[in-house]
Amino acid sequence: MADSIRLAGSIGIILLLLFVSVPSSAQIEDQLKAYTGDNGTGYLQPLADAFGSDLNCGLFHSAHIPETGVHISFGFRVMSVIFGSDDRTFGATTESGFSPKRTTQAPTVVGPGEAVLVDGNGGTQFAFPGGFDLNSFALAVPQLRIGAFRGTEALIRFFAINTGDVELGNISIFGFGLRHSLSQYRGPDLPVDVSAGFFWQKFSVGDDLLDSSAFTAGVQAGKRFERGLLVLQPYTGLAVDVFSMDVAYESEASGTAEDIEIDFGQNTTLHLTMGLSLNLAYVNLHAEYNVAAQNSFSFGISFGN
Amino acid sequence: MKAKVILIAVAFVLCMMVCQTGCILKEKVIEIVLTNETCVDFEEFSEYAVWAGQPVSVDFAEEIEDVLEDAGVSRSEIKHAVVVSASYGVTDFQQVDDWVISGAVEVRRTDVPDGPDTVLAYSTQSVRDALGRMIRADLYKPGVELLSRALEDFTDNVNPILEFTVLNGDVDPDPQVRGVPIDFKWKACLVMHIVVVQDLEVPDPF
Repeated sequence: MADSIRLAGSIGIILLLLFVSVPSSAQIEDQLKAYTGDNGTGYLQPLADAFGSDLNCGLFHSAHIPETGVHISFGFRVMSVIFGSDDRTFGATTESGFSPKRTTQAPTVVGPGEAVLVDGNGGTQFAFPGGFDLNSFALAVPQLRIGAFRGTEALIRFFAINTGDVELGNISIFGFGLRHSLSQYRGPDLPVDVSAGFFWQKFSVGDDLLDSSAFTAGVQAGKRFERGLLVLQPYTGLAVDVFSMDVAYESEASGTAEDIEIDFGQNTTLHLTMGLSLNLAYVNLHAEYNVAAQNSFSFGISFGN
Repeated sequence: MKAKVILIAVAFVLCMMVCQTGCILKEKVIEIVLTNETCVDFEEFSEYAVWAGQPVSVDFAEEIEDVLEDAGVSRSEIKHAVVVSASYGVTDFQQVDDWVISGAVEVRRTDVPDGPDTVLAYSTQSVRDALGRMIRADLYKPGVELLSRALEDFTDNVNPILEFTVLNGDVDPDPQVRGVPIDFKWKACLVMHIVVVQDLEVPDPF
């Protein structure tokens, strides 16, 4: 079991480092420097939406929670959003004293890489920066599950890394939640497992470059089909997600440095999960699809019982 | 031992799944917009309403090179360089009574024969009102086109030198009538966008 945990940890670190790209974060800030206020919000909005969707999925892969006993598993979740055509442009308005003021469709952070130029008075032009031409945005996080006490288990997500980059600083994620079995009160009469739970998370980059928090609360249902060591579990869940994100950066849109703070506000959305989990001895594989404000999918692997 | 074999098999399958999608990092071509603001300081002292100020030289290449160096990019990565806007403002004015001035700023190149052309104008501008502020100025096409040619030459490894000259056309009241010379300092700033092409590897796994 100890060897399993060590090997799992090594795989996880490799996966996580692949997904957390330090150079990309620094380049996003470079692109943002061309914008202030409303334009910065529009440019980053698809990324904010993707963060919220990704953080609030992959939290569970079964509605079954044992009533008692020591149950610990450690695993990794990969959560991803696939961007649509609506995510790739936004209505951007010229800045920096450009005349006349014009609004045009310009790339968002996930949009086409080409800058967009518009013409102004006296032979002037204004350039809107390109995006990173992303088809998807994925997060990979480690997750620990500890149970069970009277049909209750705890979920923990934690990761922190010092990037060594002066602008980015630390990247960290921390999350905690509880899930409680409801079907234990109905005994064997209930044909499915039912549970309920909540989970809170905080994800940040640097001192104040990006700060986000996510909260979800909902109910889950599933059914176990056992055959020897193999356990197949389709599962589903319905939850309410709440997500908020702040971004702070230095804009040079006016030619001189100006501190900009963008508050994306608090978004609340319903969230439907549909997934399938496969248990083989001490290994669990699972995959799910999530329908929310932004649809996403998740898959992962866990080691433990 | 059985558990180790299972774990290694799972890790292998996971890695193959990821690599089947074309690997996690994808090469993207991204156009970044850098903003450059070039400012020119002028000192005005005249006993007359109409004057031509002392020309002020600006090493255009040096100004833009500073921006490129801060961003860690080179001239060869520039795709477009455009003039966005201009503004002016009074930086020092000690006199008791205000003046209202009208005139223009011309630009020419001293490294090659180009210009002079009017780049911006100011009309019935109160000197006191402009103190400590930056006021948006209307840009003139001939001057903007000269600057655009200078930017284009910069991307072709030429180092343009620009010379800005104030041509003041009117002062109200006339300094000759007031019996006091007009005396103030001001600056004009040009904002430019430099579009730079960069190749980056970004995570785009799906």
